[in-house]
Amino acid sequence: MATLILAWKSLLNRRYTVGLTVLAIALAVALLLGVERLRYEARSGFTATISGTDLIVGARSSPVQLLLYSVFRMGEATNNISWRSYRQIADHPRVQWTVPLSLGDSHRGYPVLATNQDYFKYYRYADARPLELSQGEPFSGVFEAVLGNEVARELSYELGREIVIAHGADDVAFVRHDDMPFTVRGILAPTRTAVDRTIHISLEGFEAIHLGWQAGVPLPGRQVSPDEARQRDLTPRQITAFLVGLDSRAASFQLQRYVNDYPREALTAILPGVALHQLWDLLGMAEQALLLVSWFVVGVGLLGMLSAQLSNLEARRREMAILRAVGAGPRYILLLICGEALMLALLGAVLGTALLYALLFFAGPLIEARFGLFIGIGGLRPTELTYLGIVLLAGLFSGLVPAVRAYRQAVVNGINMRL
Amino acid sequence: MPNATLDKPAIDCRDLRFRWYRRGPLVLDLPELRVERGEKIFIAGPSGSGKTTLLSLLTGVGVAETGRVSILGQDLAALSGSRRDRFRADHLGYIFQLFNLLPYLSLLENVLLPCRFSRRRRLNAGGSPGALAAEGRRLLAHLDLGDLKLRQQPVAELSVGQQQRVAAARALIGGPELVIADEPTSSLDMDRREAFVKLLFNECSRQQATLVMVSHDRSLEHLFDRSIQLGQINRVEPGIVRET
Ligand SMILES: Nc1ncnc2c1ncn2[C@@H]1O[C@H](COP(=O)(O)OP(=O)(O)O)[C@@H](O)[C@H]1O
Ligand SMILES: [Mg+2]
Repeated sequence: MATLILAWKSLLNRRYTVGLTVLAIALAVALLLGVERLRYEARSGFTATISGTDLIVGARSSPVQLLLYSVFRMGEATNNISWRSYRQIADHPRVQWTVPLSLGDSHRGYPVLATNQDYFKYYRYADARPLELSQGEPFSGVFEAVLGNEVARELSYELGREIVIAHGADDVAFVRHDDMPFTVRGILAPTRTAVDRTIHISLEGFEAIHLGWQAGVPLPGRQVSPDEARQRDLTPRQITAFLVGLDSRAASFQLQRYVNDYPREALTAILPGVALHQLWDLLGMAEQALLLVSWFVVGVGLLGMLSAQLSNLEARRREMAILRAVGAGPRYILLLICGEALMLALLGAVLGTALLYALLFFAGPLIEARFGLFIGIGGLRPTELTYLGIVLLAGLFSGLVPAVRAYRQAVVNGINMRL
Repeated sequence: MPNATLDKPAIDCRDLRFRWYRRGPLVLDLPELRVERGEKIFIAGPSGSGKTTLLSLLTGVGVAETGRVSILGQDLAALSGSRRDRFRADHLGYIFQLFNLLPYLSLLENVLLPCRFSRRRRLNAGGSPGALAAEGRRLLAHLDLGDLKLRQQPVAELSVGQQQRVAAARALIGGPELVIADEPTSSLDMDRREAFVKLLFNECSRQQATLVMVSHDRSLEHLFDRSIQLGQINRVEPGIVRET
């Protein structure tokens, strides 16, 4: 106890250099924990995006690409699927349900997804949770929309609001479907998945706004009014992809082969779990590298402490001689220096953790808004606690170097200050 | 339990040899050094003659290559390293030439520092924190450091003379039997040296402590009960003694 008080007072006496050392360790620890948390949340958020779907079918492409556009609404499909092929596969005896998806349009940067009511019935995320509406109800009319939670929140849209959909992913004025606005009919509860960033409309509505369009541009003189559109046959001719639920998991491979060998069109079927894994492995490289770098930064912080302690020994010779003279043994000196290193590492770890939480508190909402990545402010998880333990242990070990030196000095020089 | 016996001499050394390195020159070769209880003795020797080295053997920080060091009747060689540290904490007070104080402790905390390491001296000085502080203040007052304002100053801002007196108070707190001072006056102004030594004498007499002071400066020699020339009792070749 007396040792600790002395060590603490000695540290306070050197608070500026010591403060810098602690700050360096704290920043490194905050970085390490931050990266670890980001990694964890990214992975769990990522894999929670879709569940309960056995297959995703799209035009022939790489599985990762298909996954990206159909689930994460990122990138674009190279090709579409004809409605007839879709219907035929949907009628396969092993298929229990399907959810057709059409993508390509957007509203103020948010992707528009055309689908049908089955989407609300069958789509599952996280641990098989269904979508829930926080307000209103699913669309039923042609020109009705259901907003993902973030869309409604960010754009402050309420039920009944009319929105205009832009053609393509960019919101360029002259390619808006402004002659056919959609009315907000429902707003989904938050899911912390890409669904939150999506505007859902019916396939018929999607078909209607593209009447009189060809190759992405409106044909002059071929425009139709909403009322005229409603009179037409709005059965889609093409969709971008569709989700498939089977009567048993075991049928997945059979059906995947069936789709991949489908004779009339070049199609690709993916198992979402497998594709998610592949994609994560791809991203995982970067994530591993980031983690490695943060460990290096921690190492640099501890090295800084080691070098500060080593160079301090020279200046603290008198302190050691005085302590020796009043009865401190060399072992006491060893403990003093080691304890000091441990204390600095501990302070750094505590401060770094505090810094992390401050960061999560202030930057968390920004990250969620900007990247759609939710980062929980929960307690420290076992991995994070292990990391902190490793940092403390490493601090203790790096303290051993100056401590052993000080011990030797204490034995050799004793009370000779060598003025 | 390391112990000190009252009837034995304060210091009794025989055939002491010491060198810093295994194949280095002998720094000390003392056939005999004896100091009685309550004596105030002066050991003179030029710089580099091994005075501090001798003191490190007397305090049990260093260990002689051969020979016997008996302090207050306790043979130091018979004690383990940590026992020697304990013995030093319990029975010895030490004053350096300079930089005696830990800058991160208050004046009073510096004085009471030995009580953190020695239970015996803590109990001698009163035991409880309040009693310790009172004893510390009493000692400081005896050493002309009674001024309250002074005690609140950071110790680094004290004058050298004041610092040395604080060091004396620290060496004396808890009634150690032997006080060892390594050139305690060498950093003081000429006219302050005698006053310092007299204060130290007074307090040592009051506590019946034995005082050993080493210095290259012989101007204070006449105040002591006895004076020893290190060069006369140390049998090392004069070649290694470097004058500075
Ligand atoms: N820690 C040490 N390591 C090696 N040699 C030392 C050490 N301390 C002192 N010496 C050497 O021992 C000799 C005596 O030194 P010292 O006892 O400090 O003399 P004094 O105190 O009389 O000035 C000198 O030659 C000095 O260089
Ligand atoms: Mg000396």
